[in-house]
Amino acid sequence: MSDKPTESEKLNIFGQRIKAWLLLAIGLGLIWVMAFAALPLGQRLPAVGPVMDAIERADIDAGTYWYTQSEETARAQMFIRNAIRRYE
Amino acid sequence: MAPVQSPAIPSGATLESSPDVVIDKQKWEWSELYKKEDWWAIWLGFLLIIVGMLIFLPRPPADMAENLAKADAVLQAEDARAPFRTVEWHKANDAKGGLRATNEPYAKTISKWLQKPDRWSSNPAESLYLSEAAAAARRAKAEPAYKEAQEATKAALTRAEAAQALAAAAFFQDAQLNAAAEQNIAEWRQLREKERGSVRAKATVQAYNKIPYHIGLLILTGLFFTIGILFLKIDTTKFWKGFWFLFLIAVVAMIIGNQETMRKYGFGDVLWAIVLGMLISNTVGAPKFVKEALQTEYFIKTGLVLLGAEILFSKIVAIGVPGIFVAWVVTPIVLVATYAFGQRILKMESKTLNITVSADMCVCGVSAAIATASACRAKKEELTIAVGMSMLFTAVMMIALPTFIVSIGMHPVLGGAWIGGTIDSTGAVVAAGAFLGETGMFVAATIKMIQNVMIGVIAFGVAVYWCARVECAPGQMVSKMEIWYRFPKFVLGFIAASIVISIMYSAMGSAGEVMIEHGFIRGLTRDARDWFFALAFASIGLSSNFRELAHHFKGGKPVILYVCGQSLNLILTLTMAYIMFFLVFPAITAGL
Repeated sequence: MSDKPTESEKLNIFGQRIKAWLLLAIGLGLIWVMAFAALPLGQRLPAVGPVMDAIERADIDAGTYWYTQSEETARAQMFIRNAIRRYE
Repeated sequence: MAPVQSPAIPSGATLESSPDVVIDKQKWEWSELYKKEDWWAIWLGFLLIIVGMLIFLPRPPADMAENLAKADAVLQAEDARAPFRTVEWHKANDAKGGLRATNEPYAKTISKWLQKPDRWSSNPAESLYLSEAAAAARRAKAEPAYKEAQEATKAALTRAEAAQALAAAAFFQDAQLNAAAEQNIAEWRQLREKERGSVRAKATVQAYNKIPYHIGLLILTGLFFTIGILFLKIDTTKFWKGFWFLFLIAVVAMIIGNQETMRKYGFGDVLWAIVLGMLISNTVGAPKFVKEALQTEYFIKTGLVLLGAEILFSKIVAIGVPGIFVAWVVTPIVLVATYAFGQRILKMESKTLNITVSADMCVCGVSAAIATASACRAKKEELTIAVGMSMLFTAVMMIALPTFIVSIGMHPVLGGAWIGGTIDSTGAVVAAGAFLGETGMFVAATIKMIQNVMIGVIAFGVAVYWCARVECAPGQMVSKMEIWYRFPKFVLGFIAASIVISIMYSAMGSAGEVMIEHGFIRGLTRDARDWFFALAFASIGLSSNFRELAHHFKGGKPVILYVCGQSLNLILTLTMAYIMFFLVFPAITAGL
């Protein structure tokens, strides 16, 4: 018996590949929807909008996960250290 | 020595045979020093730290010592002169904060090579390339608003100086004049903050082309890791064949994370590196040629050694005793309680998932998850769950918590401490704090920074606890040598980096701030660490599958654990912050 895939098997593999690429495209599309539709829409909610405006005004990167990535942490630390000195 | 059966490993498997965990052999061999990735993480991490020191430490900003002394003298004199922070006090504070080795030309050159893709709003290409014409157009558009903001700040400063002069004429003895001066100074500071925000960023944008720098960084990073690869029995050619692809995923993840809306919600590159990797591996499949480059543990451990250098222990006193109680007393209590809840009430199947979620929820999100997961050798999927949940809950809390605080009129110091002690990631803490105003933001950011420092202790504690108690049969006593054999050695590098740099930082006084934190840390090792973690998470994504992830999520237990732990965290942090800032140290609160 030959190991070569039959025509229907070839078609099946091709179909699976198409499906995989389609799923990848859908996944990437969902990221696009999130960035350009869902999250901006969320900003219109009364509870979300004001916080987002404050973030935008202060130009904060909310995605940083460690204190050295944040410029504000350095300013906060300098201010507080100098401010509480008179109470120590 | 026979491998140890672990309760954390599926029945029938042994630690050494489990493919998803990295394990040291249960005996010591000197050759481990160059055969194990744990040690290579230490050598490479320290190599980068030493290179950073050699570049930065001999090149301080001009007249650094004199300028620091001058600023300190003004701060001290103004503290003695007036009962409030004067205009001169603020100027001296700004001048001191502006002294940074990272502002020097050589540091800016280094930064150019290590920079991430830029922010963008609708055109992703702008994260890598911005033409001079486009930059000029943006500057021209933003200039009127910037000029207006500058004028407003200038006028506010004039008013503040006039009000202060009146208060000074009365020798700062007139409460009404003092209050008026304080009010005017606060308004000046507020307008100055506004001027420094997004308005200035838009008005000062410069043209850039990051592509050559990213290609250069790809080569440099690849060569850097190849040093260890040569000894780790990994095929160097195959590593390079896949490394460029991994680097590309990391760059794309950074581009997505820097989209303006994603950035505002706090969905950073770490999340997108995992998501992109998983999307590829679970649809079209990760390319075969990338397999040898997926050295997750190697990247993550090297990054963690660099992170150790950023854990500066003297920072825990940044806001005095109240900060220590809020960040260093509540956090371990919540960690232990959440872990115990997960084991005894929720009956979590995996102890490593339990501790990783508990640590990321109560300490500092992504960074704590990375450090704890590596210390207890959690599975990649478990780290993915912890990071994903942390980012989602952080986005919700970043909006809900400050909204609640403002709506009930909570004091900004209390609100700031509450935010700093409970919201996971630094960026979200700063963002939520900003909604409360400058004081709230400063307190929140400082509390979070103090809590960040705690992950050094927690990672070490978890590593020891896992070796001594978890990875052994019930009732089995483990000898000290056995603990040493099993101990994840990279944790030693992580702790050693923290201790060495902390000692240097403290010994250098104010110069430590300029030359260490705002020198080789923020100027070199931090950016390198960022890239290493992005590579690690892209690597995790490319080697994970949805089915395995779903298995760990069974019954929604990680979510229940997170929600219950965070609820306890919210209650305890608020209680402790109130006791410390309002009952025990009200003078500090009044002074902020």
